[in-house]
Amino acid sequence: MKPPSPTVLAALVVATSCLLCGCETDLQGDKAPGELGGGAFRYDCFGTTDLACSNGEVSFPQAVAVGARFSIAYEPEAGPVPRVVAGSSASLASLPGGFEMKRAGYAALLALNAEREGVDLRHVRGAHVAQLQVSADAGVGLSQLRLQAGESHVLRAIPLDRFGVKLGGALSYRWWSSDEAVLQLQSTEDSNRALVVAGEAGQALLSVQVGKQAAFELEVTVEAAANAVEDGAEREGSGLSQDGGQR
Amino acid sequence: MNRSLFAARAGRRCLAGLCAGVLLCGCAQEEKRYSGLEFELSSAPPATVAVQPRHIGLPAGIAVKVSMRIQSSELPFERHDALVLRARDPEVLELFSAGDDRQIFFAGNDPGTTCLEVRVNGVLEDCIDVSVTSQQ
Repeated sequence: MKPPSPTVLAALVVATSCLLCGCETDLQGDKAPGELGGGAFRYDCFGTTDLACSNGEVSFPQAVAVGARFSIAYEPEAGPVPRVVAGSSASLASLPGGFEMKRAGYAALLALNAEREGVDLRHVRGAHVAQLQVSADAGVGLSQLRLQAGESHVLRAIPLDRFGVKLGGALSYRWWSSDEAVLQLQSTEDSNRALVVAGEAGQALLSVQVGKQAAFELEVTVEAAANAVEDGAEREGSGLSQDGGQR
Repeated sequence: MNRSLFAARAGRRCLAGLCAGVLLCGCAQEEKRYSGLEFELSSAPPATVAVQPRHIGLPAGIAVKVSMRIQSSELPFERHDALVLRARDPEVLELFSAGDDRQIFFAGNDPGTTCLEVRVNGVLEDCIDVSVTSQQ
């Protein structure tokens, strides 16, 4: 079976471009109360690769990946809006429009008023990425991928800490295929998502890496369309087999 | 003659009594004398912290809001007595104002030790030991 033509590929890329890049930047952030009770800290999307900002909604993450960038603002119950600063510059680096988690453990954020007086605080937990999981957009982790020639899926990388907790924050991902003739990948730079397109029949290894922290490899089998066989353990109508799929 | 001797003695007694009275009044005059800072936590940090008159200990990355009271061994300090705190090494402990000088935020920065200078009405009264530890 021939791999998809450049025209088909281009159409797929356009059709899925919204999933792979910046359609989520206008999402409303998720709020969590300040520890002094005077208002709420609002977690906002710093970039499109933030897991906490995926699938059309934002959730205040339980933990943020070390090295990840994120944005937090403060909403007081009344009065002027304080600005948020890092309580510990060794734990959190201030960036234009956000922060970068510099080390594992709790990191305090303080809301300061115009007089630089603290009005509230909140701690955010930082954790190293210990595992990466790759899933189809609506699915759980994959252990292997079986595709028919010409078939395509959008896959998403999910960073987890050593306890399996999903980590928020924008990270830089790198995707690659061991055999571009069997499996082609379309991914915007640093994206946590990639469009995989099955080419000619064969086997390929899909790899994704986040920074230097963790990597994931997925065996992909591409079958000729006429001979395509679904794995018994897989979901009906899909070539995606599920389990932890971590490494 | 006897009358003048009596008057002289009485005068000396009065003078001695007056001096003793002045001395006694002077010794009894109390003043504000710093004897330490008393802390009370105003927030609930996610890790164990210690804020005691002689030692402050907290993990790096953790911040806590505390209220303070100046202790005196004699007359009590009042609200208008100025209290200013400063960490000798802000790389270890960062301080943030909390709106009045009797409340403050302590934030553990880099693991290490330093001390917290306490100035009351402009006078350096104390330097409280501070230790910032790595988070487990």
